[in-house]
Amino acid sequence: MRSPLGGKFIGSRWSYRRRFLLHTSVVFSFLLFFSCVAVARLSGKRIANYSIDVQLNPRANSIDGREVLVWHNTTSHNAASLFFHLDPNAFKSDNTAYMTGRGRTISASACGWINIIGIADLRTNTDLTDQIQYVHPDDGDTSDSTVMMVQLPSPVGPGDSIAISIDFNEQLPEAILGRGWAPGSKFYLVSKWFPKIGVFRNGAWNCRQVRALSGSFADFGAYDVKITVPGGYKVGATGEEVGMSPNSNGTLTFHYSTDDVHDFAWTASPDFVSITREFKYPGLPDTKVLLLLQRDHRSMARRYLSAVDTAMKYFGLWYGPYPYPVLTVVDLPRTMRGGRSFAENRSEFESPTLIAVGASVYTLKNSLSLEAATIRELGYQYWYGVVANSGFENAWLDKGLDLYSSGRVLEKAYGPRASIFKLGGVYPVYMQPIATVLGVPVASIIGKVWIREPYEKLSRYLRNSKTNAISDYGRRSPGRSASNTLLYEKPDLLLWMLEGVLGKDTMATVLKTYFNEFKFRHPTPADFENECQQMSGRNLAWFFNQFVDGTGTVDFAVKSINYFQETDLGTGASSYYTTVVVARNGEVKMPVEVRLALDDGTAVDTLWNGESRWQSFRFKTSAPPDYAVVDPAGKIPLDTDYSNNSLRLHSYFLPVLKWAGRIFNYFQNMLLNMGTLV
Amino acid sequence: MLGVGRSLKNWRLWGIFYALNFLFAAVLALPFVVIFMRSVSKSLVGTSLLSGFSYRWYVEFMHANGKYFSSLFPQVVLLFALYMLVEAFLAGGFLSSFAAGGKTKLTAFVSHCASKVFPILAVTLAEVLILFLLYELNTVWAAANREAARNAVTDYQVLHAELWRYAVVVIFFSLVSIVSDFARAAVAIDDETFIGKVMRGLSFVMKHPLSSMGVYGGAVVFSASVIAGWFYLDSIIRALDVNGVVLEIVVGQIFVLLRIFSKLIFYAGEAALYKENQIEVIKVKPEMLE
Repeated sequence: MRSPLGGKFIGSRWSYRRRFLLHTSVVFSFLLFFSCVAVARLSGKRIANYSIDVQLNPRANSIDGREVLVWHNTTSHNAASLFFHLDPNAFKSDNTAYMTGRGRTISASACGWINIIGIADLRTNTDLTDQIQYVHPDDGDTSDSTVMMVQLPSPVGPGDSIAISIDFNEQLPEAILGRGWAPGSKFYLVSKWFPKIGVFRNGAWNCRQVRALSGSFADFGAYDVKITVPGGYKVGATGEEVGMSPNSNGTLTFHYSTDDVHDFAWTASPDFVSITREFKYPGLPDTKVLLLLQRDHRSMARRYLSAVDTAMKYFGLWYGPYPYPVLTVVDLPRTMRGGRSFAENRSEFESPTLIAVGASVYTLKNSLSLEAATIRELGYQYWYGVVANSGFENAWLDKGLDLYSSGRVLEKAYGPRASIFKLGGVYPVYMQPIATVLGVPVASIIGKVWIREPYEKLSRYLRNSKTNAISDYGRRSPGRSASNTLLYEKPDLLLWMLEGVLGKDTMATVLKTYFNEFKFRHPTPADFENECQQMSGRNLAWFFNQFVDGTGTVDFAVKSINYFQETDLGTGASSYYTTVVVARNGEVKMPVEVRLALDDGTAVDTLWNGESRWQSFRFKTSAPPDYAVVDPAGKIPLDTDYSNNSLRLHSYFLPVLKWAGRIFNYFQNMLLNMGTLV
Repeated sequence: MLGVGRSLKNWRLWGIFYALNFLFAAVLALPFVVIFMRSVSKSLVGTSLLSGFSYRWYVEFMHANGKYFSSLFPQVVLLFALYMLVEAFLAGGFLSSFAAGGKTKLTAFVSHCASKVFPILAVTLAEVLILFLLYELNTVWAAANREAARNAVTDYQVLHAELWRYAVVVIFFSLVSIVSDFARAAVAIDDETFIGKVMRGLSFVMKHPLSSMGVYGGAVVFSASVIAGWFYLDSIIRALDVNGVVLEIVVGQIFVLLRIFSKLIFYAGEAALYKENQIEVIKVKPEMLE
């Protein structure tokens, strides 16, 4: 038997269940409606408020749910229809836009989907199930069923509200992007699982299809969720647990409630090792931290909690206090971890007040990869959870802000990352322990060369520097690598560059103000640009036009340096006239500092507006020149050729000798290694 | 110890080996050094590279020159292959000279090399083919492990499966290497047919497992000590000025010489052991049957 969505039903019992649910839902929905209306009244401007009852069926890896949504139309337009995200349908088959975009395949047993069993307008108690249509606002792909439209019998007017009840059944997918069920263990991470209403703006719905690398976009609201799981299961979820009650059939119902969030995720497993502690820091509100660990990852608890403390402290002090009373950290089992390499820590998933990280016991503490993953996920609480720009149109903004700010936290807390293991005394390498005694690695194998993170990003950016503008969102770019560059590497690097332009203190002020001003709102890149301009008092249109909306690259160079000496015959004093020619090899025009360093250790600085293709500067100094350099402080990380930024008057061969000796020595040893075969 | 003595007596052979290594390494390094010199000699990057390392320069340098370096790959492979051929050519001379004991004249060494080159190459080719087969089997095994590991719940389970593979690979690789090494010794010291050489190597290792492994293990321990010593010295040398840079280069060359020494000790030990336990092959003449 096939579902209306094309997926397989689990059994014929669904036809009976559908009738049963439709009949009984009317009674329950009225009760829920009134409770939700009460919640909504309390919530003021909270637009999308949900009350959900959900039951986990571990045997079928599925869930049954009933949702009552109270939605407020805060716009000045009528809403004649409602649009809903049905994200689980992105995992319905290999052919969905999401799966093809990620270049992945999915077996029949691993697929996931959502069936809408019934939907009703509780204002008029009208069954709207027949009004369901699947729409395809992005690509017209009629096989896509990730967006559902429901035509209303009467529109929701400006300032009015509507309550909708939806009964649904969902088959969870097998471990995909840190969600679904984990093979080999009783672990569930249920995210983007319920029918979620889109964002109504300017008389139209913003409810985009699920595509590879697309983020989410939803209105803030209050959530009241009851999760029923088999006895013995432990649960973690968005928001605060306000109660837990055992049921007569041996199941347990966990009750969660939270305000001012735009999504809700939960996890359940009987095997969790749960650790609860309170984050406390002077000047910041206390936060309850719940860590749900896999049993074989007990030894990593301290690292997780330390990283959470570090992130909450610095994000709190720099940008603003974490606004929720609770944070849940979920440690993913191995089969849920992306890549599944046995020596890799990965950040995987974030939802308001809940983050999930895939940890490996085979990573050394000094790699800080677990800390980095945890801090990065916590950063998303700020730049996706609280300040919620559209994750579809402007995904680069929250991702860039998260990478930049979590990078700042990592640098502040742990210093520049370095490995104690170096090849040839130079190249730090990742060491992957393969045997440990009491946590101490006694045998390790050499992993890849450790390129420090900002430079790894630069490397990826250089490979894709000739692609779209980042404002022209990533999925239109040619290939996954280019999309990643547009969504992650370039935004991160350009924010580091913005810091170079504004100064570290001003950048911190900008982010703090931006966070506080757009807390629980949906800012756009224009809002961020305005914030930068207001806080710095500078016109930064050139920056955003070229780096966000433009595709040009940056490359400044010193082309030549020449001088002549003039001696005053009367006093015997010498003057040196130096001509430095600097060039703009890239397309981006921006002001850049030019420095002439002198033999006596002093330097003369000047500023070039970078408008022309080249510019000649003449300096008169009392000491002979040594070298000239553009961007001496290295404030332009996007500069594609760093070695031409400076030019010495005279060649300096000692570094050449040193490295030529090393290169030569490496080849000698490689030949000897090959020769062991003979 | 016999190997050390014989190797020390023939110090001229070190020179030949070192010169060969030096020449090939110089040809291989030249294009890289030239590009490096162009990038660094007049840039401030040089200062960063003298005091440490510039990741930013490294990333951009590799991005700018990656295609050129890739284009050199066939030539680099060819040079490595040529180097191995020349080393195979020399191996016959080393083994024969060390088996003979005493100090070897260069003319005799060259004559040994020339007379043994094809049989030695045949053994080496056989070894490479067997190792290639092992590599392929290892690839299949690794893929099977990956598949099996897809549903492994913990990292420990994956590691245990992988450790079995590592262990088997190490054992087979060592066995093939030891047998091939003694087969080369058999070629250099005895005159055998191709199959006979391999069988002679195998039977020798089977008959003298401890001593043959001892020679092998001794060479491994010596080489490992040399490498560890170099790593230690390399980590404490501060190549920040002319003296430091020269010291680093000198230490690097001493390290290469020690590696060559360890290789020659291995050849000498192997030859001495084989010679001492050599089975006298007496060609039976018809008149002897009477």
